[in-house]
Order: sequence, then C-alpha cells, then structure tokens
Amino acid sequence: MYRYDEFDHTIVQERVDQFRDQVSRRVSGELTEEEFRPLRLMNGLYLQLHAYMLRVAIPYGTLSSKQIRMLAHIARRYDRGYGHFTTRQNIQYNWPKLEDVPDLLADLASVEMHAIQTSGNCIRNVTADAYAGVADDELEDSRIYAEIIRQWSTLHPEFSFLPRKFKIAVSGAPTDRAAVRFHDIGLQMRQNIRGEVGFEVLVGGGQGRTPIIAETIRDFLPKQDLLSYLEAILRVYNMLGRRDNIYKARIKILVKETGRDKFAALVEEEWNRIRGGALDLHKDEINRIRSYFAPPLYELTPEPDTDYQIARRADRDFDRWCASNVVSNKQPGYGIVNISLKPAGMAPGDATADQMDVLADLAETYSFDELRVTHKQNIVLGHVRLVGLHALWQQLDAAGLATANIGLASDIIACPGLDYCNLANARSIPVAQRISERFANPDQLARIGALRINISGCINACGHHHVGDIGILGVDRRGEEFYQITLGGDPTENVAIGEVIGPAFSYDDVVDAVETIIATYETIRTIDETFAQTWRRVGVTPFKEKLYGPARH
Amino acid sequence: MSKKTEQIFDTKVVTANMLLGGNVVYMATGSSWDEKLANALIIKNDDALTRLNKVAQEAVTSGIVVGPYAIAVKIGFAGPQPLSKREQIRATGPTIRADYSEQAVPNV
Repeated sequence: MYRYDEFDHTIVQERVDQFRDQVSRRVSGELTEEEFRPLRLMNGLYLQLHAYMLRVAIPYGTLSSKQIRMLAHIARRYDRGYGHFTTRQNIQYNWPKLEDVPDLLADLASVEMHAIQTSGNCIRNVTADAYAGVADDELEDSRIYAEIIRQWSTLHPEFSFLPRKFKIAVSGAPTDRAAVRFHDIGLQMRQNIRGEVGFEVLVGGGQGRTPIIAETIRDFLPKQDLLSYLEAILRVYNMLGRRDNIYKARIKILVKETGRDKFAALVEEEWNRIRGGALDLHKDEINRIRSYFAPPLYELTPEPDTDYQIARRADRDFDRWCASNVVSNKQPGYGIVNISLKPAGMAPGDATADQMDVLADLAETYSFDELRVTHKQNIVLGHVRLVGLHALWQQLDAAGLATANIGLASDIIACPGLDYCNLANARSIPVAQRISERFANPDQLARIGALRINISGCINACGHHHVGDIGILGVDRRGEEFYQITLGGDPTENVAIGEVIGPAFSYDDVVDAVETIIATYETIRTIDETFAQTWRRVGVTPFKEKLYGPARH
Repeated sequence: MSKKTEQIFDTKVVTANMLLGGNVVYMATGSSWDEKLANALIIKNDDALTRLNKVAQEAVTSGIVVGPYAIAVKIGFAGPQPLSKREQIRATGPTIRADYSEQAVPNV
C-alpha cells in the first residue's frame, strides 16, 4: 500500500489546522454561512436533510486494517455506529456534528486519510479496478497510476475551480470493473503492437441527467506521457467548459458540443506544447510508486487445497458463497474474496463499526492487512489463501457478512436517496431493502443469475441506474414518490445506457414491477443465458407487454 | 364562497438545521428553535410568514441555524404534519431503520 511521504503528511495536517480555524471563525460569526459553505465543501462536509454528512476519501478504494479500524472508531465516536460505502469507493458518515469535525479530521490524518477533494468542482477521488493487482486478466496494477494521478491532482492550483466536478477511473484489465466509460476521463490500459503497456484515453463519459458513453480520443498513450496528457485535457476543459449552466458544465457536454475529433485535436495541440517537460513520468518514478503496490509475500508452494474442496462439498452454504463471492487470484492457491454489504433487508453499502473492526481483523489474518472498497459498495479481500477460506467464511458469517449474492439480484447499488440526501426526489434504500427481501432465497438468486439492479433517488444518478440491467430512478410527482424503470444498461466493456421501459410505478408497486421483469426473463431466457444476454436478444417488447399489457395497434 | 375570491394560504411552519449540530429544527415560540415539529409555530397568513422569515434570517446571521425555509403543513390531531414526503422524512428521520432516526437517538 502507498504510505504518505512528508509532503502528504504536511498537506493533510495543514488542512486539518485550517479547517479547525475556519470552523471556529464560523462559530464566532467571523465567517458568514455564504463564506463558510465553500470551505466546508472543500473538506467533504455537506449539509443533508437531517444532519451534516462527511465524505471521506479512500483513494482507489484501498485501505489497511489500521485505517478501517479508524473508520470504525469514527463511526462510534462521532457518528451513530455505522458508515456508508459509496459508488466512488469512499465512505460517508451521516451524522457528524460541525463542532466535532476538526477532531474527526485529525483522527483521520493520524492514519493517512482525509476528506480533501471529496466535494466541489475539482478532481475527485480517483477510482480503480477493485481487483487491481490480483486479477488474472490485468496488464498492470491500475492503482500505481491512480496513485500517481492522486498526487498530481491533489490541490492542483490550476484545477481547483473547474467548471464542474471531475472524475477519473483507471482499469488495468480488459474486463472493465471500474466503469471507465462512464467517467469524465477513463483510462483503459492497453498493449501496443510493440508489446508496450500504455493507456487508451476515453473522455466525456458520465451518468447524471445526460448519460453519455465516453469516447476514445487516443488509442494508445505511453505511460510516461500520462500526466502531461491529463493536464492537456483538463486545461482544454477548464478553458472551454461551460460555467453559465450547471447542467451543461461537465466535460461530457463540452466533448459532445465540440465534437470528439475537434476536442481531441485541441487536447493534442495543448499536449504537444507541454509534453516532455516537468510532467514527464520517468521509469524510476513509476517504479518508486509501483514498489508500494508490490505483491505481498505469497506462499509460493501453496498447501494442497484439499481441505477447501472437502469443505465445499460438505457445506452447501459455504459452497454457494464460494461460487458467488470468490474469484481466482492470479496467484495459484489464492482467491479474491468479495464481502457483500448487501444482506437481505439492509441498506446497501452500510457497515457497522463492529463489522468494520471484524473486517480489519480478518484482513490482517487472511489478506496481508489490505482491503478494497468496490464501486458496487462491497468490500474485497484480495489475497486470501484457499486453505483458509472456510475459516474466514465462518467468521464473516458470525458478523453478518457472509451473504452469498455478489453480482446477483440482491447485490443492489443504491444511493442514499430521500432518506438522507438533500437533492433526492424519492427514497432508494427502502426500495433496495424490499427487493433484496423479495429475492432473499439463495436458490432463487442462483437460478436468476447475474443481474445488476441499480437505484438512484434522483436524476443525478449516484445509484448508477443508467447502467443497471434493471435501473430504477426515483422521481417526484406532486410530492409523491414514483419510480421510472430502465432496462439494458451495462457499465462494462459491453457498455450500454438503459432504455426507459414505460410509465413510472408508485413506491408500493415498483417491487412488483421488478419481480414481473425478472419473471419474464426467466420465462424467455435460454439455458444459461444472463439477463443482459436475454435483453440483447429480445429487446424491450416482452418486458413491456408483461408490465403494461400488449401494445395497441 | 367562491374560490376565486378566497385568499388561500397553505398553513406553514419554518424549519432549518442547527449550525453546530446540523439537526433539524422548527421555529417555536419566543424565536426559539425546537427539534419537535409538534412545538412549531403555525403560520396562517402572509404577514406572519414575513415576520418569521425575518426572525429566521436573524438566527442565521447570529450563527444559530442554517438555511431556514417555510414548509407547508396540515394540522391534524397530532399537530402539524408536513405535506411533502421530503419534509415528512426530515421530521421523523430515515425510514430505513428505526434506530437511525433522530427521535431514537436524540443528541448523541
């Protein structure tokens, strides 16, 4: 894992001191609310429906046991004993008090964490493949480059007041687990014909009220040019991005209005002006950062995994959990363990302080002291020996963390929605809770197979509804909650934006509608076909007819 | 009486969040702020609304509350009830777990 150097420590500590001073000036009345608001937002502190909300950055989702223990401590001491892991691989606390936040940030700084750039019109927390460094299909660990981008973008003076927020994702594998095509900049590692590894650069993707799939502006960017090229993109956006209309301020609108080719030309022009300068990434620097992400000391002669095989045969629940939650690590004898934060009937992405402590202990014992937060709001232990898997599962089970549903119907992405969020029009979490209760039977879940149900409580799409196989968008109709359903979205390399299926459903009816869609799929699927495959084969008509009756001709 | 000539005024209360705690409050008697909606001052006409908005702005200036605004309520047996779902949830806390609500964990 990356460890702070003296610069990181200084930046974070100075920010804690500054914010302490700003809070005290606000409380004394020296700062008005108008003056204070942008300052608190720069430190990730929002005012939501019931209370302040603090968003803490987890760079590319990676945490040590010590860090997640601190997150547990913060949940207990400053909040209500739980935290909410987000689709940006961060954690949010829903109940901190303004007066406590300086101490909270000081506690975070003691474990090399902060809330800088988790809000505001700046470059936000860089996200990466949650399987980085352990996936058997990757070219390189994407976190090396996510960390390099983090260092470059942290307090970057030129990019602190962009037209709008800016999100970057990095994937080192052809299987896209980081939704790079739905980011302002998506970096997809590629190999050129000479076998060199670099990046395909995609720009202008995003969800929100105008969902757009990112377009490639460069097929292959050598690693050494990564930062100068990013700087060129940001500079063009900063100069030309719209500041007159918040809904048209994201780079996706600029790319769309300018046209991909022209936008790419503008970037290349700026890049040619600045490349080869101070932003050049030298091999030594890449290797220095790479060393922080070196593979752990795996057991090179793994013990035979007979015990693990026996346990799978003997214990049906364990076998089911292995099938849905564990994938192979590139290191033989090891697995990547996905820990679901989506037990039936619970809020997706929530973890209690006690559960976070359990996760810290288990990461220490079973996974070289390291955890990852996924953009699907789950937790990953990347380096677990198969021989220890049964013992790990038993301990997870005891902590309510052994739900076997990764990638299945109850593994729902949901934003905080109207239960917490100031922007929301409708509740998300209770809809997710009701769906996960409806589909709680493990046999039923397995039969349905891979299914992404994503729920957003408003058009800002924090719950990624545009890219769900089944997307649910909460809308307000004269003070009442309604839910519009989209089908066929896909955040991966098979990228697609979901299609609106018809009129919205009421809060009471939306879960039945989801059940009807799933039942329709089960009726018309061919053997082993996933929902996405069935959708691509049959399109909207059968689903529409089941939901709304046959179309009138 | 014809609706055209009747002055219709939706009954309102003024709400805000406390600056220090961030908790939801309602303007109550004597320019105080109360966590209980039942204790909120009921606003029945434009004059009262103007007056209380002014009091609320003073509370912002003096650093007591943040972002005050008026919400429409109906008056029932249990006192004022917000008309919108948003304000119902603000008044009673998240609907997802009883122990997450303000009422369940007052001023922890």
